[in-house]
Amino acid sequence: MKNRFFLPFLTLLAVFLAFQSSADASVVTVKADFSGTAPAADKLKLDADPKCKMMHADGLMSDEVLVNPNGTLKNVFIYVKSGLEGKKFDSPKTPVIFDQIGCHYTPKVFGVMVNQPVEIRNSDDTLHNVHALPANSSQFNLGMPIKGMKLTKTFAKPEVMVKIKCEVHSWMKAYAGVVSNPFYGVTSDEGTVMLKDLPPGDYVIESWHEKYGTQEQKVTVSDSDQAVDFKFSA
Amino acid sequence: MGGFILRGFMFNQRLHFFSCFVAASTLVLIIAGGLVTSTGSGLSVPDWPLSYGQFFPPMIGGIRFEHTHRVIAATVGILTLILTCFFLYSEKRVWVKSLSVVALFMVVAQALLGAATVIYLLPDPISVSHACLGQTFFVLLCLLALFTSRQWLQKPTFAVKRAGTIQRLFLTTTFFIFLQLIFGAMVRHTEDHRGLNYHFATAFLILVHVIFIVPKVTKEKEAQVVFLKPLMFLATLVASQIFLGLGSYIYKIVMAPAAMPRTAEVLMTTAHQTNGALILAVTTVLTVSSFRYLTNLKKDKTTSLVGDYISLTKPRLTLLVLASTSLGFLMAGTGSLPTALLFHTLLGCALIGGGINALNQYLERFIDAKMKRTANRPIPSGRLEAQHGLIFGCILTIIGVVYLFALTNALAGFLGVLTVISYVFLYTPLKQKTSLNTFVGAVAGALPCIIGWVARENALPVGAWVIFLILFFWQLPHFFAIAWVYKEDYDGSGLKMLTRQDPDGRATGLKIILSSILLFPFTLLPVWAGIGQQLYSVAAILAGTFFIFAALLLYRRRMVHAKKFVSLSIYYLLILILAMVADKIL
Repeated sequence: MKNRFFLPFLTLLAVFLAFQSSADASVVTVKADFSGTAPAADKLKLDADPKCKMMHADGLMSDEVLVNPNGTLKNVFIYVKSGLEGKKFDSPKTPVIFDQIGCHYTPKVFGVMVNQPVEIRNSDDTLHNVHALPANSSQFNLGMPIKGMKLTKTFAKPEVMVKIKCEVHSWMKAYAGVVSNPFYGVTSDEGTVMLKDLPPGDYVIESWHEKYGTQEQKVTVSDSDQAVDFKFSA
Repeated sequence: MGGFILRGFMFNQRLHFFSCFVAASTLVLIIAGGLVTSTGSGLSVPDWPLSYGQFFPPMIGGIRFEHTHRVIAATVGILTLILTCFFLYSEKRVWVKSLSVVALFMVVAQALLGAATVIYLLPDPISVSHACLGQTFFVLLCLLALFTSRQWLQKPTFAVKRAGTIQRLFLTTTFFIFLQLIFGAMVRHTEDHRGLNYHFATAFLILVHVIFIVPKVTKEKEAQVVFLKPLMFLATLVASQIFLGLGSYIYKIVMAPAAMPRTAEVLMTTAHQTNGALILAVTTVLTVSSFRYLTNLKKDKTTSLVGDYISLTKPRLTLLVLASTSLGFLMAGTGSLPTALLFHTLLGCALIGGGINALNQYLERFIDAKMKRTANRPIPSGRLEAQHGLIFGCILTIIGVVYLFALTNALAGFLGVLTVISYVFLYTPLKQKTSLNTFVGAVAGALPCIIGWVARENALPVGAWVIFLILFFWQLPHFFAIAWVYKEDYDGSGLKMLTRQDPDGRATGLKIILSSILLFPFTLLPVWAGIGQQLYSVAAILAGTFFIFAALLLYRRRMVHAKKFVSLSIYYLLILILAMVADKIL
């Protein structure tokens, strides 16, 4: 008699619990604080390519260290480094757009999941080569001589970070954080990244910056929201 | 043709100038390649051999450096092909022709390595190889220019005090600079800077070498014509290289990397690399030149002093004496071999043998100087002072005698003294007085065997005397033949040899026959004395008969085979000894 109700009951319970946990899922807000004085940006010499120079009548500055008005650091890659071992996450089919525009990479720092397509575009009326230098996946160096050209590439193994550069325009550098889970982000104008829907558990969050390197922090996710502050200093 | 013949080889001005031109073009190529590395534009063109699918891509950014490098490289490749054809067509020396073919192979290999850097995205080993091969190719072209130069063909030679030392110093310098090239390429092309320590250490070694070598060569007044200017050039290059190296270090390691390569940094690192190529080429050319143009003023005193003292002891003759001593030692006694005693006996005899040979050379220094065969001995040639030879000989002889007395036995020591007296005080002076010296010499020659016997048994039984007699009589035909071989020398020396009043060799031939027949019964004595058995008797009879027959033949053929007879006599003795030893052991 009991058995007739046991399985549906269990299913219901599971659905309820799942719903419950997702409804209560906490948000981890990761912030990249910056203290001290940022190094003065160098004015880049664009004479090597007249077309680049034309696109930046006021000149182009180096963008290695960008500090927001609220005292946070831009272009910091944040991701869950450990705590998700054994879990498998599907890679999205939608590509990450990685554009070359105004002799500059947009975005300069981005995250991408393993095997997720990266659509590389050339929106410039000049010639670029895209040279990615991963250590774990295979390197590539692509010529993109024509405006409007698109190429799609993937990275097979996780790696933080993969450097991407253009040898034609020696100032052009970008970094891709290749990860195996969907919990990552890059700080922008607010200097924060929200890691949503992390199941309860203990995690290690890592932050990476082109100039200031990496930092780690432990966080325990339960039912309340969490805040993690990374402190970068000049 | 602006050519003329020098030392049998045509100086080909056009070939020489063209070699210089290709070498200079290669230096330009090295600069262009250096700029590619310094600006980091190695991969600004992703395809090879075309650039973005074109012969001429838009010259922007890194492509300006990479494509210029490719264009110059292609030009140098074509120039090298022409150069090789030119060499194959008009060069006479096969080895120079071959070198030009090697150059062609190198430039092709270099192009393929260049392609590999592009296709495989600058893997460290390929980048390092490309850098090293490029400079090696430049060195080879410089050498081709050297080998076709007027000076090389004229081959002016300068006698300097220590040519060997200078040449070796140059050679090690070249070696270290080649090593430095590899370390430099590692620092430049790989991420980890462990190579930097080696690069610094090698730089120091090279600097020390150059500091040593420059004054050493420049003080040779004569050689300045050839060496002064290149050496001054080398010194300037090395001095500037230190500053360029330090500058590169500051820019690349000390200072934080810039958003894009700084102009000063690019110029500094490229200049450092190109200057390195020049240093390598100049040093290699100087090294090769030093081997061609420098000869020793006289024999290197330091390097041959030890050799002179060794040759004073007549090492080969001393070894023969030791063999004879060993024979006596082996034939004496039974049971297991006392190896320590054998060692002491041999060492004592070696000291005595070496010592009396030195004393003999001291005493005969004036006669030796007159004979072609011996004029180059250490004392007559003037390399060693006569007194030094005398002291050396005395010390060795005295130590040897005392050693025999102390570590073997008194009888052996006494026989050692007897050997010294018979050889130094009887045989050597008698050589200038009477032709009977041969007999005294034969006594001295046979004594070491007895010393060996006595050292082991401390007694002189019949067996020892028998061997002594065989050795004594064997020396007669042996030395008569030797005297004939060196007859001309001996005649001019004033030594009283038995061959002296014997223009056609009849008398000497007869003496050889008679002494060979005389030797025969003595070779049979061991059977009687119990130290030879069946094997020995058979060997002695057969070999003895053959030896007498050979002596007769020598006489019939008027001594033409005297030299062969000397060797034959040695084989005869060897057979007797081996048979004797075999009979004892078996």
